[in-house]
Amino acid sequence: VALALAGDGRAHREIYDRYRPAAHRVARGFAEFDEDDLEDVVQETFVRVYQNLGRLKEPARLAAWVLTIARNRALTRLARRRARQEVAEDLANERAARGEEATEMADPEADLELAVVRRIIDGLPDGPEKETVRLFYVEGNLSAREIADRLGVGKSAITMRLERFRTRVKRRLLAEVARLRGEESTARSKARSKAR
Amino acid sequence: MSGRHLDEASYRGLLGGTIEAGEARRVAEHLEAGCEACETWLESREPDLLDGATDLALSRVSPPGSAGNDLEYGRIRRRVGAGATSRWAPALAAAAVLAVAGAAVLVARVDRRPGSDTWDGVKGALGAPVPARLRFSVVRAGPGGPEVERGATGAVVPSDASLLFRVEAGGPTALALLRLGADGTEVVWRGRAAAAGALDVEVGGRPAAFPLRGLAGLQRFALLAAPDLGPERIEEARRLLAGARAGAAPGPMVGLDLVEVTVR
Repeated sequence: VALALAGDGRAHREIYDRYRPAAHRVARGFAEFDEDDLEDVVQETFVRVYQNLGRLKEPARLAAWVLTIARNRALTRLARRRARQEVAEDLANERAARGEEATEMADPEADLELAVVRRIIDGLPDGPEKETVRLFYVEGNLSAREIADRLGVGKSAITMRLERFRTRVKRRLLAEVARLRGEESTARSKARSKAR
Repeated sequence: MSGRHLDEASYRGLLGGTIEAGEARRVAEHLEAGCEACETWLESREPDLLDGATDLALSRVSPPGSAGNDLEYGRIRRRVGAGATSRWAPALAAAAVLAVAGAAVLVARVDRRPGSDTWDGVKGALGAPVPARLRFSVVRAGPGGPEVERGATGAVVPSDASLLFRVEAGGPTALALLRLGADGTEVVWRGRAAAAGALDVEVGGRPAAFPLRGLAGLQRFALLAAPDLGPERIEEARRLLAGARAGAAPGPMVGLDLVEVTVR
């Protein structure tokens, strides 16, 4: 991030190369998008990333920040399409994601996150939602739109299934954050008592 | 937190680390047990950092996604470059020095295309040529204020310097200044000459210097001049220049002048 901020072209390119696949996957989760939409979302994402990189307070959060922007761009595009009208700019949310408001989000370990996600997938009852999640996330070769075609269901149904699953993951990750917060605070209290 | 469900205060407390330990544990238990109301509440929120973290976690269970490519990256860089004027720094002090130093300061050698003693950057049968020249000065901070030196194409300049550009146009024309470096090509300035004469590159109505901070190696600056210099024409010229050998012209009816410096 520091190199990119200093104008190092290779660092810019590395950010793109490293996070482009995940940003593209975020956009692919919306079955309403065709290939042109996906490209636009990816491009808009990285244009915003480069334009706002200087405001990222926690470089360690770069990955999550890029993906937050990608989701914002995708949702904004979707909202425009659905409502056929301009939606409010989402800069405020990206500002929060940059760490200006939530600066110290506790990070569950990557392995823990992975375990949480796998547990949720395994725990899904057999059925359309599990099949959609398996095709999109586990196999990972099809876009939401392609899954809709394959399963013969409406595009919005696939988007909804994926979003429902994603929200479940989000809730569980937030639970992990809460658990870590509880442990951190307890550890700090014990340390203070010991010091006294 | 009312009724143990998530609300704005508890959510922000969790992410910001301001929540009390006991409350955090209660929230954790509540969320781990599963709560549709909290899921609905989370789903209704605009995306924030937790969403980014969620997508990141989900990406870890998936095979690598679709990699990028040079074409897409180039488009992104151009869009960033087209909207970026913030690199320019106000150069009022430097401009004042230039005004005192007069023309001698501005006599920069312009790199013309090989075999051409006089400017003939405009080709083609249509319309009259609009000759244009790009001159520059190197500005550095000195103990007594900005120090300005005549810019010479091919010179080695330090990375803490800035370049102050002056354009000389032979008539009314649209203008664009491109930077071509190892990291890509960007449009750094667009302007218009209302009549024949010299004009300083300005941003926001003020003379502006182009900082070299963060750049390294050979940097070429190309001035394009044409009565009609729309984005497509600039893009065409940019593409040609990016892959061009020295001296290549950007196309018919587009005037071109080039200067180059090496940043160390």
